[in-house]
Amino acid sequence: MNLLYSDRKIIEALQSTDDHKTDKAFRMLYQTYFRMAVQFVKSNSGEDDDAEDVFQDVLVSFYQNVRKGVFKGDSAIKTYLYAMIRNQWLVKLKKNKRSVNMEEPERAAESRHVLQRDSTSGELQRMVEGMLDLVSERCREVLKLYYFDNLSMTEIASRAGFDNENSAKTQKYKCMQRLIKLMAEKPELKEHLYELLAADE
Amino acid sequence: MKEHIPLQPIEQYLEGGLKGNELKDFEKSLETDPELAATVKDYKMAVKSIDLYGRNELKKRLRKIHHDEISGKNILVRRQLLKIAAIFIGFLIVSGPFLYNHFYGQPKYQNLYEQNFTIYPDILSQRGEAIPENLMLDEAMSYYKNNDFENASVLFEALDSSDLPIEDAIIFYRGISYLGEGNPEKASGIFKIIISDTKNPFRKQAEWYLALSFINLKQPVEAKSLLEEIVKNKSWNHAKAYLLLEELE
Repeated sequence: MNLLYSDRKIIEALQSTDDHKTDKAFRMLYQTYFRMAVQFVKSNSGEDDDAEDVFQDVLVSFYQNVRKGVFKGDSAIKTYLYAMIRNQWLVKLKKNKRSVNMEEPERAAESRHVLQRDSTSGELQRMVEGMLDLVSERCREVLKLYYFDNLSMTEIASRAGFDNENSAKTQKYKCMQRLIKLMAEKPELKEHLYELLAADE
Repeated sequence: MKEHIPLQPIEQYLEGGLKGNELKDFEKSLETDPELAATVKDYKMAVKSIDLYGRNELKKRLRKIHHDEISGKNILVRRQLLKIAAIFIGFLIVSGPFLYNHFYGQPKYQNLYEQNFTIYPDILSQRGEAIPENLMLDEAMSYYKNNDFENASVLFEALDSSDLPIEDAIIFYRGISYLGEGNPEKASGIFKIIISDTKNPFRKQAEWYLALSFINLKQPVEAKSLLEEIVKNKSWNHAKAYLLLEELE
């Protein structure tokens, strides 16, 4: 499939390690597709605020799918986002047990567009931040760049100012080791986080 | 908990980097070494926590972008609209009589378009076995029949690239959906393609919808020419075309 020029630009920007470029891509996605999310959510028992939540969750998942190579532009961004918005909203409706006159969420789950779970649960968010607060800001950044942004060690070295790839790799292991050790020292916090993460599955 | 946790093999194991004997040995150790099993569990939780942390950090950025692009702009737009409205009212008071005289009697293209636009019936629901079951097609037609053209056009776009044996129909309904959602430029492009294909079964219907697209685009010369053709050839909707032509005259 031939990619639209704007689609190609957006994918390239989201693959970049430069926050300014990724922000620019998100702005472009907002300007172009937010209305589509509002229209879908509002025509299926939702409100403006729901559309905002759904659209942001979809953009986060879309970002990760681009970075992990799950989405390479095999379909138009518009089509892909539409499917994600639709599935995300169906999952939310199911969670809220709100009735809606459309196909069952089970059928939507058959779609190949797999969405990550909503991470906006306040308690879980606080717990996760509390857990990550146990390590230094630099460690948080390195771990996030590796596990969330899916950057290579070379990219992390360049972005976080390490001498080379090996230094970045060593630092990442040390940070992870420290995080796991600190978690072990706080068994109550750890157990509670286990429960919340299991409930979020 | 062991003082030095062997994280590298755990990471390799979880990322699918261990193969063959290395993998077997690691899996055996997992069964026999509860501390290693506990560390793997902790590692997974740490990774998930970092992922959630990353998601929340990105959502903070997106909330700012939402404010800049949507909420903030809405406030600005509302303020600007108020200013424009005030200027416009002043302008109308001064020049109202002149404008009324100038435009009275001119065809009102938007009204003409709205009076004449109706969707082409759903001929696919009576389809036989030749057309396979397709959830996306059903949903697209459902949106289409409920005049939800924006959602319909998105799905028809997606369907267009598929191998369904009703490609002509999907393109035709897609064109009508563009027209219905207020995108006559895109619609006219589709209808022109259909008309240029002499074997297309929706060719005559596309002429009528192209004429409506021209009216929506305020292109009366092109619309008249096409409507005259429809009347002359007694094509699809020729009676309506005749009446519309009179209105345009």
